[in-house]
This record gives sequence, C-alpha cells and structure tokens, in this order.
Amino acid sequence: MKYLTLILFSGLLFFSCKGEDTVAPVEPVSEYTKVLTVDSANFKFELYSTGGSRLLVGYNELGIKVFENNVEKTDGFVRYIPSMFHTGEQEHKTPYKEFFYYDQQKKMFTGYACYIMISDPTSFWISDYSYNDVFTLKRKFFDVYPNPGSQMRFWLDQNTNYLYLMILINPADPKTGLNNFKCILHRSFENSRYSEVDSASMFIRPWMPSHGHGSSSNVNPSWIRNGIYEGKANFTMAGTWYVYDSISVNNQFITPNPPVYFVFDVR
Amino acid sequence: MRKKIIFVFFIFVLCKPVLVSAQVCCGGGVYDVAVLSLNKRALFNFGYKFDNFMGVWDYEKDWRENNNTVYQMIPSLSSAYRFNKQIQAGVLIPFYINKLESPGLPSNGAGIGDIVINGRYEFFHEYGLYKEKGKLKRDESTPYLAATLGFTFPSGTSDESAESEVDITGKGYFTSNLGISVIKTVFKDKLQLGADLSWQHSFEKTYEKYYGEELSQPYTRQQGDRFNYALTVNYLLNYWHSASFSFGGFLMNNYKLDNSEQENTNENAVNFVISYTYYPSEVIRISPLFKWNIFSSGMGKNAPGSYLLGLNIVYYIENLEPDNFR
Repeated sequence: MKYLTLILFSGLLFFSCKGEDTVAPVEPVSEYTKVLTVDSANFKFELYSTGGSRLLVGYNELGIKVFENNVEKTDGFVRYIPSMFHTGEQEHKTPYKEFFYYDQQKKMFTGYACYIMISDPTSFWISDYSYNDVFTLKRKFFDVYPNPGSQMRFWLDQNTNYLYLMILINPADPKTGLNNFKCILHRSFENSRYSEVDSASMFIRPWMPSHGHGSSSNVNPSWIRNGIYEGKANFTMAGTWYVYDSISVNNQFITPNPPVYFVFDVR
Repeated sequence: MRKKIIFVFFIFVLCKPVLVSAQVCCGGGVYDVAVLSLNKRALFNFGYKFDNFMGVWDYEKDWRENNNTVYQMIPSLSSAYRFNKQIQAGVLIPFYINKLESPGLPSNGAGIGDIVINGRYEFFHEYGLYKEKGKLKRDESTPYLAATLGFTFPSGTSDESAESEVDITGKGYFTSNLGISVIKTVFKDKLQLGADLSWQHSFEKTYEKYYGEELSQPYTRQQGDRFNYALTVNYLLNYWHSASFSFGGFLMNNYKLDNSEQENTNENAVNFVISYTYYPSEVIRISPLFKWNIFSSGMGKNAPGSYLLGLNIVYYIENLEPDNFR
C-alpha cells in the first residue's frame, strides 16, 4: 500500500511539474535603445533608437519619451526637428517625421529621422524638441556616426526642380536569395523642408555588373506608410549587385536614365 | 594497339568537361566533343553530369561561397560519325535539370539545353604508315593534329524567356568555337600527352524581354571572346583500363552592353579533371570522371566554381574497312 501511494504521489508530482512548464507570458523586450536625454527646467526628452545607442547616417527609427516634472506624457504629439550646421554656411534640413505620436504598445512617441551626413569638427547636428507645441527645447547638439549599411541617393528632377532623396532601409546585410528591399523617398524644393513622397511607383531591376545578368522573381516596392516603399530583390549569387530603381510620380518618371541605383555586396 | 591508344585518348577528350561561363544555374555551351578513332565509324554516347556550384569568384578574385544549394544534373545524348580519314562530325543534345534551394524562389526546372554540333579535320594521325624505298614503314614521330570547329545553337531557354533562374537551360545566343587538338605518345602503349586549345566567339543577343517581362528599352549583350585550354596526361594501365589527368581553364574578355565594353568583367578559372576509363568490350566504353575548381581566392575571377561528377557510356560502330582511311 505504501508503494501504491508513493507511485500515485510520484505521478501527481510528475504531471503537476509538467503543467508548470507551460510558457509563461514574457514582457516584450523593447527594440529601442536610449541614445540621449535633453532637459531644461521641468521638462525632459529621452531619445531612443532601434539602431542602437548611436544615431547613424541614413534612416533611423526613433522613439521619444517626454517628462514634465518627472511625469511621463502618454498622449499628444512630439515634434523633433533636426538640422545641420556647417561652419560659415547656412543650416540645411534633413528628412524627418513631422509628428511623433504616442504608441501605446511601444510606450513612447514614435517616428523617424534620416541624417544625411555624419558629424565632424566643422559640421554640427542640432535639434529642437517640442511637446504638443506647448513647451520646446531648442538647439540641442547631438552626434551622428557613420553607418556602413546605409545608402542614399540624391537627384534633381529637371521637369519639376524637386530635389529627390531616396534612402535605403533594407537590406543592410544582403544574402543570396530573396531579400526584403525597403527604402524611403522624400523630396524638397529649393532646400526647404523635405516631405514624404507617398504616390510614387517603383520598378526595381537588380543587376550583377561583373557578370552582366539580372534576376527573376523580384517584387517592385509598393508604398506601405510615410514615404516608405517595400518590395523584394533577388540576388542569385554572391558578389556585387546593383539595384536600379525607376520611379514615377503621377505617371511621370522622376528618375534619370539610367535610373538611380543602390550597390550591394552580397555574401 | 596503336589504334587503341588513340582510341583511349579520344575517349578522354570525349568526356572532358569545359567550364561554362554563365550565372549559376545556366546551361549550355559545353563543347564535349564526340571523337572517333580511325577504327571506329560512329558512336552513340549517353552522358550524365552532376555539377554542384559551390560559389563564385568576384571581380577582385575573392572566393565567395554559396549559402544555398545550387546544382545541375545534365543527362545528354551525343553521336559522332567519321566520314573519311580526315573528317568527322558530331552532335550533342544536353538536357538540364536545375535545382536551387533558396526560400521564396522556385526550386526546380528542366529542359533541353543548347545543342552543339562539332567537327574536326585531322591533319596527321600518330603512327601512320608510309612507303620508303618500296617498304612499308610506320611514322614514329608525327603527333596527332586536328583542327576543331564547333557551333552552339541557342535551343535552350535563356534568361530572356525563362520564368526564373531554374528554368534557364541555355545561353540564348549563338557561339562558335575554333581550335586545335594535339596528341603525342611518349611511351608507346603507356603514356600520352595532349593539348586542346580553342577560341570561342559568342554572337550578340538583343534582349526585348527579361525573364518574360517586356523591356521598355531593349538592349544588346555580347559575351566576350574566350580562350579555352587543357593539358592532359593519359596513362594506359592495360588493355582494358586507362586513367587521365587534365589541367584546364579559360580566359574570357569583358562582355559588351549595347556595344560598350564593360570594364573589369573579364572572367577566368582553372580546373582539374580526373578520369578513368574501362572497356568491357571493343565497342563499349564506360568512363566516370571528376572535375573540380580550386575553391579559394585568386583561383578565378567573375566565374562560378563547382565540382562535377560525370559518367559517359559509349557504344561504337566499328569501321570494318579502316585501311581505306590509310
């Protein structure tokens, strides 16, 4: 009888332990890393990035936390306005999201900025931070670092005199086979603020210049949000590939001939 | 036995693979020459190759390994016919079975490849008979020498009309090939040395589509001229067995786009071939082979690298009146 009890008890213990192995809900780990904090008086802005603890040349996905008297703001919007100054020259703009809205899941105000140059001893990045247009911290310095995976292409559309800027988002580390191809398109008129281009049609053509062939099964990028277009590029073998991108807006091609292209070192 | 030696060597030449300069998963343009010795009238060959692409050399000659599996299986039929002592011709019909294991992409394709016709004019044969002062003598010094000519028809499916890479079974353009073949027996019935040199010219191709999609701006492309070489040692183990070792490769010029030469697109690679031949009878030959590139930086440029396993089974129709060719 003692043995029977022991067996029953062991069985209960076994099944109860098995039950405890079920997956417990895990707090999602934030993909954002804090980059910097700016504050003044009672206000504080914390800047986060998905690209690590540094701001990098090219597209940066950003998050901002806002505090007033150490109380976090969870509604409204943030304006983050970066600009670059060169010693002895006028400031110039760079593409950024006009309004950062609060994301309940990410628990911060989210948006992006595209930095078109790195910081150096004669070139300085500054930015303004504003919450709900109620309080603003102006001209705060920050640094932008090189990003080997980033690529950007500028060109002037002769028909409209718009300066277009296309920045690669993905792939930063391309592999043989199908790769997600993602880029963001902006335009600017006479060096004023950049605006997202949401009505473009893109036609990509991967090409391996050293071998003289392209690839099949590519998917032309289509608009997903905020000037961002996403498609697929097929790199059939390792080596250097170009991805030409012919772009039209309102049925008028805005890219030169041959079209602008990104260069990929496929491994 | 002399005929046998020549026969053996030609058999090796028959199964000698030549690197194809094409993107991975391309087919066609392989100058496998079906060659007959003097005592053979015709041949029929069934060949099979498994060509496994391991990577590619880039324009800086750096070797880059494939992340995915890419290979071709190439069963083929070929035939050759000897018209007289000097002239013979052959035809090769390959069938390509392509495999590409890459997520999101078609993985299988197959089809007839580019058909090759070839011929050769034989200036000299080794150990030819001649008369001197009324006596019949054997020429011990003259090597075998032939001029070779080949032509490839774009009968396969090229990247112009294929739906994806695995559907590619041909280059899509005509190619001509002109060369010489030299053989010299060093030790009679034992050891032969050979050299095959050829110049390959590809004709221009106009692309109006690419992977089946119409192009808004058609363009022309022309592969660069290519020099192929192979040096071979052939060792006769006995009457029924022989082994061969070959070192070969190619050098190819830049290709042209719309008549404009594209810089730094020239290609080259070297390869080694080991072949064994078994003769179960006078009219049947079985010959497996192994070919490989050296998969390291500096051993090629702008070219794919692979190892290849092959097998050729040949049936011969004997020439019942070989003396008519003397």
